[in-house]
Amino acid sequence: MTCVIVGETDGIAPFQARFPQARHLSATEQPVWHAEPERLWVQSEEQVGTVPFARLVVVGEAALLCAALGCQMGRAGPLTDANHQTSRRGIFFLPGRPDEAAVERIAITIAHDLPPFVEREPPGPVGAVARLEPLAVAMVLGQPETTARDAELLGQVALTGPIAFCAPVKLAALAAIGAERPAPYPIQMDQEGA
Amino acid sequence: MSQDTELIVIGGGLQGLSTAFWAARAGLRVTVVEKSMPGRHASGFSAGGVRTLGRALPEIPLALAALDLWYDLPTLLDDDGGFVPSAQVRIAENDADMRSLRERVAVTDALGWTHEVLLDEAEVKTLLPAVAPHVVGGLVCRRDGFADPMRTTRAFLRAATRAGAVVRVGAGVAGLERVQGGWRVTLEDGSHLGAPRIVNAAGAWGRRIARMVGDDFPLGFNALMMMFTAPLPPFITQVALATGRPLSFKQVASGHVMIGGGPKGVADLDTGLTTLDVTRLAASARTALELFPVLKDVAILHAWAGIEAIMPDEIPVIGRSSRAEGIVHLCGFSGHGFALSPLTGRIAADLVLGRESPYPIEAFSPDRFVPGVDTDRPSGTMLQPAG
Ligand SMILES: Cc1cc2nc3c(=O)[nH]c(=O)nc-3n(C[C@H](O)[C@H](O)[C@H](O)COP(=O)(O)OP(=O)(O)OC[C@H]3O[C@@H](n4cnc5c(N)ncnc54)[C@H](O)[C@@H]3O)c2cc1C
Repeated sequence: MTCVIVGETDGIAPFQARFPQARHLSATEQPVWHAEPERLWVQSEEQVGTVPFARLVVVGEAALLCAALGCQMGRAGPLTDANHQTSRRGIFFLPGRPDEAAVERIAITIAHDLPPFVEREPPGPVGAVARLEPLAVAMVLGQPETTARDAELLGQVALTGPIAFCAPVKLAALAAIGAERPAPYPIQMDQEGA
Repeated sequence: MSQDTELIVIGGGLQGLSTAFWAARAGLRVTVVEKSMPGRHASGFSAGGVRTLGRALPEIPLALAALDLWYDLPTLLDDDGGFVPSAQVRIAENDADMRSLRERVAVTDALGWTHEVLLDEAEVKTLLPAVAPHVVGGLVCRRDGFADPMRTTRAFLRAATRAGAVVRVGAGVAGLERVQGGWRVTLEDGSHLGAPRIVNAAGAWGRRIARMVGDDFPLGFNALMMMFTAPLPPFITQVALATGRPLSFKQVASGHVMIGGGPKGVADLDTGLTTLDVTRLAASARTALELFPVLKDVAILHAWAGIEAIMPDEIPVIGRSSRAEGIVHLCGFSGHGFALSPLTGRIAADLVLGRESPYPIEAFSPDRFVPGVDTDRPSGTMLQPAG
């Protein structure tokens, strides 16, 4: 079972002893720029690649990453239970540097594969959030990652679903894995009412 | 049943709102029922390309007339939708591309259309100084441009409302039933609305609505994906399209570069959500980089996808139902209905008012897909990227 721990160096440090087999992705060395169920997209200098995971611990400001993974979001970020587990089983979130007790709780939850117990927040004032143009979303994503920036983006997540990318990615690094002419993707057909 | 309104438009995307605008302006009492929010789907995620370049032949008269309306938008709507006249250029990367552009112009010239103009290598490189050295020519439509998707959607919403249309949000249609004098619409909350006429402008959900009235056409859907880079110093003012591979590409005033035109993710009609396909975005990034090396150090900030209705022949469904009286279908825009929307809403309004369309629309008939009929594309038909 692949366990991956993501975050700023001092945020992930407390996990190193408790999860020696886990893969530790430091936000400065290998930033995660996109996430899909069971895999993260990271960037190295020349090209992008994926890191698979079965269990994931996210430490620090990573609201967009958790949203991309389908975790239930509150107004301030991902919703978690007492074990720091998000609504997605096996995905954990800690907003800041964890203490020993938090690390231990996560370790026990992973060891026993405990289900999440996240309580939904009452729906926020989505009606008050204006839908942004794609360009405006890009402009907000281009700003430094702060709680205020993420709150604005989470407003859009509530309106239209996850926002990509979690972090900027070099176009050339992405292009490096691109096929010249991928086979056309087929038209999807709707079976409802057929 | 009593008629609450004279026309119910299903879908509050650009097509539905444009229809509501034109129909209300013509004096009809119009109600738009939108399952989510206006512009929630394709219209709000559009690349906003206003293109007459490379249109499927039956679309050319509509695209040209729609383009005139884009120039008139401030008069019509009190808002220009952010429309920027910029020209659109299709780039030939090799001799095969150039041959297909020449063939295209031969076809359009023969039909009397002169809006697409061939460019040789020197001309295309003068027009697009940042284009890659291997480019050998191009095709340009100088009056084309682009606009802002949400701004345009809101402009039509406001104008329709000013003209008297009522727009109900969070009002999904769950059923349609023929009753004396018209149609009874059942909404998802169980309430009902009645009207003699209905326009099906439900985008990728258009087939669901069609089936509710006993019609069917092979309307599928895809999640069309786009990207925006971080800002760069200005290097292109036109919208550029590739010829042999899908790409639409432009730089907006803020310096951000939009890349798209073909890559598809996965769409879910039931949740309304999309999943990006990173490997296909990568192919798009590669095409963009090969054509515009100036992108080599830029970062991508944003990628998104919108659910768009796609017909097998990539042209829309526009026309009256031949089975269900009072029903007009307006959907299936296949990645390029943003540009057409100022006009196609007007055509749909004409049809519900019992008028004939002043533009040829037979090719868009809801009945055109009869089993066994050959749907090969006519010569001169080009790859049409979203945008
Ligand atoms: C990423 C992307 C880029 C594009 N780029 C371009 C471009 O550059 N140029 C161009 O010309 N075109 C472009 N297009 C295509 C263009 O945006 C669409 O063709 C156009 O917006 C379609 O408008 P619509 O109103 O038919 O569909 P939509 O905007 O999808 O509206 C349909 C509406 O119907 C509603 N609905 C569905 N079911 C129900 C129901 N049961 N009851 C009530 N309401 C319902 C939906 O919620 C939705 O709001 C692009 C599309 C995408 C996705």
